[in-house]
Amino acid sequence: MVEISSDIIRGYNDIMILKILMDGSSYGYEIQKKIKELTDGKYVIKETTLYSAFARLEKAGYVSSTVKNLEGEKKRTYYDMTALGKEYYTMKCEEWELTREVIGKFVKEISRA
Amino acid sequence: MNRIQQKLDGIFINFPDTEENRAAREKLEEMMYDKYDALVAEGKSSIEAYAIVNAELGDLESVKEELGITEYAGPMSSKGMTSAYTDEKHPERAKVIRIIVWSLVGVCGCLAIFWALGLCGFFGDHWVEWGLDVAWDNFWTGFKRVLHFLIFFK
Repeated sequence: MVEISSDIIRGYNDIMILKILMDGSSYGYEIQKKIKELTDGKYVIKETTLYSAFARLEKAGYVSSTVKNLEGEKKRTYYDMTALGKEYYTMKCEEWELTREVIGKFVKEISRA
Repeated sequence: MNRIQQKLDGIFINFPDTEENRAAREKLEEMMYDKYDALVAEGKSSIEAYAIVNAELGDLESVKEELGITEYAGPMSSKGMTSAYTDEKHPERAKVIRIIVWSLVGVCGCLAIFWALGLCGFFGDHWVEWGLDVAWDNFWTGFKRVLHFLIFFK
């Protein structure tokens, strides 16, 4: 069975996270679960990858985070998309369209052969 | 639940107590407990829930550079003592360490050669006694013999 290339998908984790944050504030596990559901289980984003993406997006100002205290000593970090994040999301979507267009031409060539 | 802590302890044993490393551990812990609790609430057993959490955690090694988290620079490091100095982020430091290490290797190598030559009497006309108390005599004799050898062949 063909598996998704981690090298390819790595550059587009940001799109997935930001798309989910467009619907409102969310947290790590919820985002991970939604990505799994939206891709019918074909892609499961690992916690380390997710945290790395959050740290990068926050550093760049594309998301902001708030720590909320839950019952007991439990804490949860919620992420929100910023205005800059929306611009970045649009730019990444355009980049993906271009990538798909370019790679698509070569995939068709291979399919005919 | 303690298995999550044990897992994180195992991962972070190679990472010193810095702000970045603490933040990484805290956030990973949050997500792991959230997932574990959700899976248990869905009806999974504790063992099944932990197995899924463990399998989907991922590899910290592959994202550590991006996160700026650092490992110990000593033998605690998973890649050995030199890993922190060969980091692409510290090329100058790596260069200095390499120069120091190779200089020490060179000096020790020369001393060993002098000592061995002094001891075996290969170029000389007498044997020098074995032992630490006459080690300096051996070094010096060996050094003179190397010099003599070089001058003689010139």
